[in-house]
Amino acid sequence: MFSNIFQRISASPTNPQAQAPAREFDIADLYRGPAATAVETGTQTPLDEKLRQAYFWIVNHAIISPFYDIEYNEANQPAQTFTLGDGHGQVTLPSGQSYCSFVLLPLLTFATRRKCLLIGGPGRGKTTSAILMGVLAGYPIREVRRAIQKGQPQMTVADLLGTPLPSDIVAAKKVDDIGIAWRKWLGMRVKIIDEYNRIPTRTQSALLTLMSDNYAEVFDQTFECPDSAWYLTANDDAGGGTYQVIEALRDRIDIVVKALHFNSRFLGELLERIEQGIRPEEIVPPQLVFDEKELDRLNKEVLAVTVPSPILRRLEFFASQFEFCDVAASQLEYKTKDTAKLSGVDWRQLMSTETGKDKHKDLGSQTRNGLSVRSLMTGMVFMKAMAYFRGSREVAMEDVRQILPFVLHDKLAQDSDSPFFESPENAVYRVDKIGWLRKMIDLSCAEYDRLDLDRIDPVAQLAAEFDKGLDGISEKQVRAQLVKVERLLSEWSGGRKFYGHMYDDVLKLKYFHQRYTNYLRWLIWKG
Amino acid sequence: MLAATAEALERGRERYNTAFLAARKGGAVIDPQGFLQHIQTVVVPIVDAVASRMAERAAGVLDGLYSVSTQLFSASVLGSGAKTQAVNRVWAELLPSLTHLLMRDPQRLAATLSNAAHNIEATPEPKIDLWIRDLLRLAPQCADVSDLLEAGKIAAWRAGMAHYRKGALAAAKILPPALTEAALEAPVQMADLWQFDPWADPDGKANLTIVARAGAFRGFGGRFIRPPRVWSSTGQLFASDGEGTWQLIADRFGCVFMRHDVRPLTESSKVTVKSDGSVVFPDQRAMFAELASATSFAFDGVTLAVTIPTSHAVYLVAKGAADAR
Repeated sequence: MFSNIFQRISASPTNPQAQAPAREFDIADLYRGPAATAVETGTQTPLDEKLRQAYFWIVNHAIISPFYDIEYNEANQPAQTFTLGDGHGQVTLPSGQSYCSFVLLPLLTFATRRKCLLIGGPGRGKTTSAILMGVLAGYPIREVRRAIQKGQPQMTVADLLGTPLPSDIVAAKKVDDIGIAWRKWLGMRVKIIDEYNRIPTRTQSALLTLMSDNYAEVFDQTFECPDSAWYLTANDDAGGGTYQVIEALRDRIDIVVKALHFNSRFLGELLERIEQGIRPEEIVPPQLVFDEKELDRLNKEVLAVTVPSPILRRLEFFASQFEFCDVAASQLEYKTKDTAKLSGVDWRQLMSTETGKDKHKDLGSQTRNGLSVRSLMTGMVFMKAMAYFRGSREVAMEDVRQILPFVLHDKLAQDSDSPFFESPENAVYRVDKIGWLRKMIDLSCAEYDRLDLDRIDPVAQLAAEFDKGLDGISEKQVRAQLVKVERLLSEWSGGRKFYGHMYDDVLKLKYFHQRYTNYLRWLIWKG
Repeated sequence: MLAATAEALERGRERYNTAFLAARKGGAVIDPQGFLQHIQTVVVPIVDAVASRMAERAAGVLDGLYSVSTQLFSASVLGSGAKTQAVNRVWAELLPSLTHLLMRDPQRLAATLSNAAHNIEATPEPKIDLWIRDLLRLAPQCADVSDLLEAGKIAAWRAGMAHYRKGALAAAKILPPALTEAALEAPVQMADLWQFDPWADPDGKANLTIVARAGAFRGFGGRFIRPPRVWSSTGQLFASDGEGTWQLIADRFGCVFMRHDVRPLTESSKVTVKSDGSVVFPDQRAMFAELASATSFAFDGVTLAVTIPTSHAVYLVAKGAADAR
């Protein structure tokens, strides 16, 4: 029954695509099979295929997590949906290859060298998942376990980073002479912090420097860390715990992954492991381990995945919905939720001010903040990673839709008082953040389609004209561009509601106007 | 058991035991007695044969064969618990005759030949007997492992792995001419001809003939549940019985059906089959009574595939002949 289970790696291709009319056959396949040849022990498997094999090995043999909450469907084959119970809960059977977030997202973090927070109750596999990533990076299991930094109230900066050499302290004439015995984990490509919310605040500050700037500093000595994937665990993501997690540290986390519950129908597998003394992290097939060069190449290949312009445009539209706060200031540039937050004014009081906008329709009314540059960059990296994992070299809208909610999970703060959540069908989104974020992406795309922005986007047109450059443009042409901007703003000011997505467009129009104005002044001065 | 073999076993005992335990701990179900018997009755004689020629190579060969044996036992393709006998035949019949090559690269040779046997056996149409027989015939002429493996590609194609024709003919260009001729059992020039005309006959026959009957009723070990239909697309032949679709690849050494997921677009045929069974090529015509009332036909530029309502086979018509193996 368990014949060759744990050493079996999913056969390629792990994500078979519909075949072209005629297949080509590689005679080298004649010699590939159950026995590894000397050639195969080299790095011949494409790295995206290797990443998928790692995923399927983990999900089939290592972590019992039979969930498919990242759902993809084949073109023209919609998912089947069944409604269950009085609560009208739905089970969806996707038609395409789908994935478990608890296994996939740590792997994508591994590929992109980002920071992943694993949350969930005790004993749900958070630390095991992180350890597996360490083993995949080529570290012996013993080394991975010893390198885990365990948060506890007595943890000091020295515990985390290293201690000065006692002999140096005595002999040193100046601080620079003190050598530091740096902790070994600082040099690892996979870093694991267990229960990070139990680390004292002072030590959290040292951790923040590490996570944000990738170096450690003690006694004016610095240790530059290599690029690495980070895995932090906590029992929840609220930032509470033994110590409050400082906001800057929480903000450095790129993606939040929830450990899902154990499906009791798989108890038999647990029993087999107990009886056979199997620990999956100790028997990771060597073919799945990435060496340092492969890790570097993997990261580069992920970043090389392209984001097509139509997808980027929809992402821009989505991201533009949230920052605008009409009542936050009189100056256009300050009309942001950030201004409102910094002012300390009561949020509810501010939001109760009538603006005439439809708060059910306005996506911005659902959040208390906008998207930071960091979260947008992280989102784009993970979208690329998702597309790469699926074997594509360009991001598809479904990749955005599936992965972005996990990135924005604790980046977009929900305003649960928004009228949007008053509707019975939307009340569940007060609790289900992933579902809420995905719903917002869908609503944003629907609005984008309704406005027909792929076809009618005057700002994009002006941007394209601007991107041709200012050199060689005549005074007449500059004045024509200025008129275009002014005319468009005049058109918009005629009774239109000012929604979030228009805000960035208006600012961009102002930007164009200012650039053209300055250039015109220069042209006039030049004569 | 020769002294060199015994010494190699003794020196490597702890390492071999650890490797065996690691494989079992990894979930592999390997019968210890069966494995031991394999080592004693199959591996040791091979190592002895190597040791009798060059004692210092015994340890290396034993290491390589032990490692490959563990992997193959884990995959249930070797030993008494194996699902098929192809790989067992490689170890019993082929490897003992390859001591001069095993000495050079035991792991690679044992692994690749075992994998090849496994793959040939897994493809219903080809014949593993022919492949083993050819390798035994060619091995004495191979100077190194690479030569044997390239010759093995040609042998696999000639054993019926028609989808590897291009790769095999590419291998023929790499080998020394004498070995190529021995592998092809035909003049070297035929390799160039077979590149474009898979039915070209070394004896020069070029009349239209029914060169093969490919496929059979599933109940008799074939592919089709009902008489199939054929069509061509992008120069390839396809067949379907309404349930499954296969790409049909055929040449004088055999025919294979490779599973296909997508129904391709149909192309019109330059060759026709009339209701009386007469076949009309651009430059030839012939009458085949068994092809009367054909239900479908398709042409890939060289081979005409025809189906009839009373047969689960696909008739292949071409100018040339099938190999009389």
